[in-house]
Formats: sequence, C-alpha cells, structure tokens
Amino acid sequence: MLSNYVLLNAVRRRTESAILSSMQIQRLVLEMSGGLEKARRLQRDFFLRYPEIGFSQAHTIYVTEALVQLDSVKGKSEELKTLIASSDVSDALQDSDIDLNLYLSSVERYAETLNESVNLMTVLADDETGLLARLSKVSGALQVDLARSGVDAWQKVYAVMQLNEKDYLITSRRSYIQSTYNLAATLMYEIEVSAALPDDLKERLLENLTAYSLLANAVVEQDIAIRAKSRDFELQAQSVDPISADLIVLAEAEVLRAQEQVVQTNRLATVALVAITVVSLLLMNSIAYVLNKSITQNVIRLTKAAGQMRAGNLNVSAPVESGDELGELAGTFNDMAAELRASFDALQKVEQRYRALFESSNDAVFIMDLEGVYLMVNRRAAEMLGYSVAEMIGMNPSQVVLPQEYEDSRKKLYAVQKGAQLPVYERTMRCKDGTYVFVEVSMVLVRDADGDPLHIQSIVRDITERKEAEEQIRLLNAELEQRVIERTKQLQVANDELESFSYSVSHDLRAPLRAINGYSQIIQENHRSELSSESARLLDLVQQNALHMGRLIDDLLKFSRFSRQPLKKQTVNPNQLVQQALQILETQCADRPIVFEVGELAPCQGDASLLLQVWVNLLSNAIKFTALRESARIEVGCQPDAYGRNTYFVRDNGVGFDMQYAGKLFGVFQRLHSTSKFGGTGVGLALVHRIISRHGGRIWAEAEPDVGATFFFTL
Amino acid sequence: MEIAPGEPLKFGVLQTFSGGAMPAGLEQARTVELAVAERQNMLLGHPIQLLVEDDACSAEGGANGALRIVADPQVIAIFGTNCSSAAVTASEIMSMAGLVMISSSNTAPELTVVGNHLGRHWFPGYFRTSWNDTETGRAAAMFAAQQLGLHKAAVLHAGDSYTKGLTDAFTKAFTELDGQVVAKIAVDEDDPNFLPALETIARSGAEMVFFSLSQPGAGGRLVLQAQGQHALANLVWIGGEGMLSEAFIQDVGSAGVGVYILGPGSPSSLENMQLRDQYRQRYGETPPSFYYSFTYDAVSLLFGAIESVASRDKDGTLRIGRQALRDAMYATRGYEGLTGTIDCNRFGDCGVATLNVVRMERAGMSVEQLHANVVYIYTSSR
Repeated sequence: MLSNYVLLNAVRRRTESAILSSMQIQRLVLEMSGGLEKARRLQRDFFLRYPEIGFSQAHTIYVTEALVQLDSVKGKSEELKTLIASSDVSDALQDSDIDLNLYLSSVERYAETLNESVNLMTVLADDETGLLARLSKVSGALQVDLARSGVDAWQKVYAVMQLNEKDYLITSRRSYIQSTYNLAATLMYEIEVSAALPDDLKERLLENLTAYSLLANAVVEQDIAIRAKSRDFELQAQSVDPISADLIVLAEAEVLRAQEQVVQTNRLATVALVAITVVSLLLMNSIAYVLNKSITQNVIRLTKAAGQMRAGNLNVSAPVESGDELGELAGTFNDMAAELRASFDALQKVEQRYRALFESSNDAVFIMDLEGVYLMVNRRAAEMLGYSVAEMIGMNPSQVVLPQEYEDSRKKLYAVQKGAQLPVYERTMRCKDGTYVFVEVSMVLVRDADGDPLHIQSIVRDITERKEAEEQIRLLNAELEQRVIERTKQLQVANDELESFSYSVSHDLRAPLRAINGYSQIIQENHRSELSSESARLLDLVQQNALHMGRLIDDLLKFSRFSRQPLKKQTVNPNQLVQQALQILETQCADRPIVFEVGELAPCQGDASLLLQVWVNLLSNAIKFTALRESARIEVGCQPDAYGRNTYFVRDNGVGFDMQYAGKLFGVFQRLHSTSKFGGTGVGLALVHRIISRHGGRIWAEAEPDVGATFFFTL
Repeated sequence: MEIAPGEPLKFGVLQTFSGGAMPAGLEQARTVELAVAERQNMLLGHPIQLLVEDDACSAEGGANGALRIVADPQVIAIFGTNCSSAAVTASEIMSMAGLVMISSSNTAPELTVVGNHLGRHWFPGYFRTSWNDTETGRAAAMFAAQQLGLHKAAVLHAGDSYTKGLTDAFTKAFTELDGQVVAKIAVDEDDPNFLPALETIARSGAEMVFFSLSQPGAGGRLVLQAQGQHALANLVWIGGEGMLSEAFIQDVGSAGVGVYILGPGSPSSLENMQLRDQYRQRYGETPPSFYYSFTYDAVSLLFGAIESVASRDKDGTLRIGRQALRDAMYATRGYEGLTGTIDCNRFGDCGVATLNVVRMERAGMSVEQLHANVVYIYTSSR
C-alpha cells in the first residue's frame, strides 16, 4: 500500500514537471516564431515607408523595434535551448539542439544584416546626405551650367546620360552607367577643348561632371551591396523557417505527450485508490472476524469511514481513539486517507495550472468531441468570436466557420478523427456580430493511454492583423509596380521625342531660313521691277513657304521647350487661366461674333504657365474651326468623371472631324484639315497632349463632322 | 573536441551547387568524396560524415552555408569554398567557431595576404592549397609587359572579391613593370550588353585588356561583341583562368582566335592521371578543370594533420584539439602532394603557383588542346 503511495507521488511530480515544461516549450516556440515574423514585418515596413516618412523616423519606428524583437527572439531561443537540455523531453526535441544553434546564429546574423542593410540604405537614400540626394544636386547644377553654355548638343548628351541613369535604376544593369561614363568623358573632352566657354563655367562643369561620374559609381556599388543583403535575408529565412515549423510541431507533440501522462496518472491514481479501499475493507473484515463485540462500535466507525471514502469523500477520518491494535489500525487508515487527500490536492493543483495556462493562452483553444461539438473553449476563443464561453459550449464549427470553407473544415475534422496529422492551415471565422477574423488553425487528436481517441484539440491563432498588413504590402507593391510601369512609359515617350527632335529640328535651321527670307525680301524690295510676273509669283511662294517653315520651327522649339521645362506644381485657378487665354486670343476673334460660355472651373494642381498654354491652344483651335460658322459658340466647363476627378472640356460648334481619325489628333505635324482652309502647323494639340501627359493626366476628344468637337482633359 | 567510440568524424563541404560556378563546386565536392571513399570512409577508426552545403558562389551564400555547418558542434573542419566571394564570409564564421577551413580554388589575395599586408578577410584557421592571385596578377603582367612588350592596359572585372582581387593584383604588378592601366571597368556578368564597356576600352587607348570574370559565358560575350569593331581590332586579350573551359571556347568561336588565357599548370604525374581516371570511372565524366588535384591535396593535408594531433582516452574516446589542429596545419612543411611540394605559411597560403599562359589558335580547340598550347610558364619564387 505504501509503495502505491510512493509510486503515485513520483508519477504526480513527473507529470507536473512534464506538463509545465511542455507548455513552456510551446509558449517559447510560438513566441519565437511570432517575434521573428514581427521583426520581418517591421523590416518590410521600414523599406516601404522610409520614402514617405523620412529615414530617422522610419528607423525609430521600425528598425529599433525590429532589433528589440530579434533580441527577444534570441533570448527566448537561448532559454528554450536550456529548457530542453534540462527537461525530460522527447528524443526528437533533444535532437533539435543543432537546429537551435543554427536558429540562434541565424537570428544574430539577421540582426547584423538588418543593421548593415539600413546603413547601406542610409548612405544611398538619406534625404540630406544620401548619394542619390547628392547626385540629384550635382545633376541640377550641371543642368543649369550646361544651359548657360548655350550648347544644345551638350544638353542633349546630358539628357541621354540622365535617361541612362533612370534605366539603371529600373533594370540594375551596369552597362547603362558605363554608357553614362562614356558620355561624361565625351562631354568633359569637348568642354576642355572649347575656346568659347568662360573659364569659371568650364571649371565648374568639369568639376561637376567628375563628381557626377564618381557619385553614379558609388550609387551602383551601394545598390549591388543592398541587393546582396536582400539575398542574404532570403537565405536566412530558408535556414530558419523550416526549423521554426519543426519546433512548432515538436512542441505540440510534447504537449500531447504531457497530456497523455496526465491521463495515465489519473488512471494510476484510480487504481491505487481502489486497491487501497479494497485492502482496507479486507483488513476491516479480518479485524471484525478476529475481534469480539466489545470493539464492534469502533469497527462500525471504521467501516463507516471506509464506506465514505469509497463513496469519494477523501476528507473522512475514522474517529477511533482506543490505544489497542484497532486504534493503531484506525490511525494508519487516517494517515492513508490524509496521504490520499494530499495526492489528490496536488493533482488538482496540476489540473488548475493546466487550466490556467489553457485560459491564459494568447491563442484560442477549442476542445471538441469527435463529431466536432465544442466541449470546452478558453476565454480567448470566446473573446475572439464575441460569444460567452457558456454560449460556445455545444456549438460546432459550422456555426463559426465561413460557409464556403465549412466543407473543407469538415473534411479536415474527419481526417483528424482518423488519426491524420495536419499541417497548420488558414481559415476565416465568423464572429457573433457578423464580422470575420482570419485565423491559423492547428488540430490534433488526443488519445487516452490505450490509444483510443478521446477528443480533438484545436489551437486557433488570430492573424487578422498580419493578413491586413500583407494586403497593405500587396497593395503597396502593386502601386510600386504601377509606378515602375508608368515611369518606363514616360521614359519611352521622352526617348522617342528626343530621338525625333535630335534628327528633325535644331535651332540651326533658323539661320538658313532667315537667309532665304531675307534675300527674297531684298529681291522683292530692290529688284521687283526686273522680275517677270511669273518670277514675282514664284518668289512670293518662296517667301510664304519660308515664313510657314519659320512658324513650324518656332512651334517645334516651343514644343521641345515645354516638354523639358521642369514642372512647378501649385494650386491653380483654371477660371483665371481661361480669362488670360481669351485675352491673348482677343485679336483672333475680333472680326466675328463668338459666344463664349465659361462655366465654373474647379481648382487643380499643376504648372500654371504650362496649363495656360493648354487653354490657349484648345481655345485657339475652337476659334479657328468655328471660322465658317455664322454664329460660333464655344463652351468651357468642368464635370466630375466616374472616379470623381475633375474633367475639363472645351466644346465648339465648328467643323468637327470624323472620329475614325481621332488617333492622329495629338501627333506632331498631324492635321485633319487642309492648311488652305484652316492655318496652323499641326503642333498645337501635340503640345497640349505632352503637357497633359507630363501632369499625369489624359486628354481625348469627341466630335462629329459639321456639328462640332469637344476636347476633354483630366490632370 | 571529443568523439565517442563509433561516433562519426564530421566535415563540412561548402561548395557551389547552383548558378554559373556549379561545375567547379561539383568537381571539388566529388573529389572530397573520392578521397574519403579511398579511405573506406574511415579516419582513425571512425566513420567520416560529410555535411554538404551550397554557397551559391556569393558572400551571403557563404555566410548562411557556413552557419548551417558550424551549428553542429561536432564538425571538425570545412572543405571549401570554391569561390573566393563565398570564402570572405564563410572564413570568418568558421574561424569564430574554432574550425579549420581549407579551400582548393580560392585565389583572392585578401583571404590571406596582399603583398606584405594581412588580407582584409584573413581569419585564423583558413588555409588553401590553391595559389594567391598576387602571383596570377604578376604572371599576367610579366607576360604582357615583358613577352608582348605592351604598355597600356585596360582591366575588366565583375566587382566581386575574386575577379576584382585579380585585376587589382595585375594592376599592381603591371604598374611596377612601368605599364599603365588606363581603364578599370566593372561589369555585371549576366548583362547582355558589353558595348558600353568596350567603348570605354576603345576610348582609353589601351593596347590590351586583362579580363577577369567567373562565368565563361560572360567572357565569350565580351570577346564576341568586340569583334568587327574597328577601334578594337588590334587589342590583345588576356583572360583569367575562368575562361579555360569548354563553354568559353564554344561561345567565342572564331572571335576567340588569338586570345590568351592564364591558368594553372597542367599536373601530369602518374598519381594525377590515376586520380583523373578514378573520377571518370566514378562520375562518368572527366573533371572539368585541374582543381581536383588541389582538392585531393587539401583532403590529404587535413586528414594527415588530424592524425598527427589526435589522441585516444582509455575508454576509446578520440580527442582532437582545435588549436592543435590549426597549429599542425600552419606547421606543414615539405608535404609532397599531387600539385607539388606544399609548405603552409602563417597566413594559410599553402599552394604552389605554377601558371601557364595558353593561346587559342583556332576555333573549336578542345580544352586539352588549349591547355597544351602553352606560350608562357610562370612559377612563383616561394
């Protein structure tokens, strides 16, 4: 009997220790995994947010916190290592020692790499002292000085250098930067040998071109180092993530192992109790048989106490106070009962601690019967779903899982019933108030000591916050991608224009044209009498065409200038711009009545001088193409589009055009009407299109022949 | 460290098993396997266990691979890496863990010693049976300046420790020989467009270009894109040993005629031939380079050092002092290996530099034919 007590106590102590250490292991493993995930999220947020909120603030908010998290993960993994070494855990967990070494060193390296990566980013992109900021400053100075030099060819070379720089930022190919060096070398050579350039300008240009090349090189080196760090992070994740996943599985198995030990201990306690009770009864019967009636009363008391004990009352004691053997027997019985009571108290405490851990868990825990009906849920589970614990008992997953996911949940429950081990999976759960939470679920079958299924335990973690952060990052990534696409488009457009201009137009064309015009004028004025009438007519034609060509060149140069002029965005009042445009165009419509209807135009963000040109060109077009109307009508207005953006328009009742040619409207030199009917160079709308594009807006037209045309644009 | 009876002796094998440098990594890992198999997978009565990791031929790959290996406290030493850029980080991690690491193809000077200065990436416990690229740079510079009489050179590298280290060594030696390096260019090996780099070379007035790249494909593309360019017509090309490969010969075709390549001297001893045959028999192909000999020497040297410092307790436990092992390695003198007589200096340089300059005479030469067409031989003065 006494050996039964000793055994019971030993098992109780071991069980208690197993439960505590297994729960502690599980807690550490989950906290390590969560901490690592949080550090990664903070790191991602740092890189996404620093352009918006600045380096130092992003560093304080995200990096410092990420390093704190990593330090905590490191501390916990060291604690886990010690705990595993000192506990009686499974062989599989004992064997994880090497993995834990790697986990620990990888986390340390993660913190180092994060610091290095942030330092590299600071050197590259700090708002004040970063290489990119310095490059931009040198670029600005170069641009100004090259414009001062008055040599267009140099400015064009420099524009190509900047395009190369942007191409590098998009593609990360060094050959673009190498092209830039080559162009910089060409420029430096030409500047050095130029006799026309003032010395101070020459010196400044050479100095800035050298600085530009050095900074561009430093940007490339920094960029390569940053990309290497990104690959480093990926490799670290490849080392750490599988270990993390394995540890979670092992820790869960450890908890199950401890639970099985509880079941075994309970069984052992029951067997011991029955054995003690039976032995006690036998003892009493023997005593009753041997002793005479004088001690019957004491026997009856003893029997009654034993009966109460058998009925489950462990607080009972036998009230026998005689000094004989019966008294000794009753004393032994009472001691045994006290021991038994202490054992059960201890077991109850273990049960209470388990329950406390169950209740204090940050994860929701559901204990289900084999059909999935909730037998027990912790407070976190009830809080997460908005029910009370009492309400949840008796419910089942079909009432809380998203209907379209229920079938899969049912299959998983069935698989677990059959003993399958499922990996952690994600689910959407419906709360009492109709809102949803995203969760990660792990589900295991708990068996009794004989291996028969007892119940199903499901641990559910709320990952709504993580899901939302992932969604936000996805959206940010999508936006970034969109920006890259748009940037590429802008670059392409800029490239095309540059090419077109470098071959077709140069201000040098103006000189010979002026000569043609001037000499024709001299002939007209001084030698007209010597010309035949046919020669005079032909000379008129030469002059008219020279003037037209002059206008074409002027328009093209204007187009070129407006295309490159830096945007100075500010809040602009379009009503004022329209009034200014009408004043400019006053002479164009002075000879005929035109009704202008100008509605209220919403303010916008843009470059006022460029937008004035837009209004001038659109209104000039409307005036021009209503020339054949007796009562011309031009309407200017603003209306919101489907997305709520302001769409401005200019509508006329002029000659209109066939919509099948609408695609040609905005090309340089594209004209839909002959110059004999309506003058112009075919550059006006191209210029409007260019200015609107540079504002990130869109322009389009709707028209009908002989009815009129409407030009719409957004900014 | 202590190894209980029956327990294995563990060694890391950190080589490249992905990307363009994979053939070299595979060759060296296989040779380690071959050398271990030759000993029936046993050393000092214990089975030998190899923990194989990929270093991806990069600093970050080397670091993470090394961390995986040193996580096991029973690992004695690491065979690797084949890429110098991976060794830069792996060496530090190995050193902190108290191990020995021995490479058979790292050549970057910074891993051991640069001239008389300790390399920036030198760490105690690091050794190599390959040579130091200070020698390679000197060999290329001497060939260019003294044999070909060239004075102006452009150098081109890929920005990593190996390729840049080699062009730096060439630059130093060429300048000491009164030559002038007129252009230093870094390229991305996977960039399809080398024309801007070639334009820089053409502008620089260079008579020759010394190009140090890891990937033969990139070298092939470089030479091909120069073909037909008038300004580069008389340029002399000298490539690093990465070009001594079938892939370069195939890619470059007739554009490669006249290109010089610098590489290790071809080991021709009987033992070498036997090892080469064993390799072919076991893996069904000829080793793609001569580094297998250097790997074999690395294994023999390390195992010999372990045997010399190990002691056994009465209960059969084997003891190997980590510092004792390093000391034994540093003390190596006159070891007769397949690649020559090996002495290790205090920086871990154990290799003998016998370098050949070979010339591509015609398109479609085999690697063996190219190896055999030696136009210049360089042996280090060590």
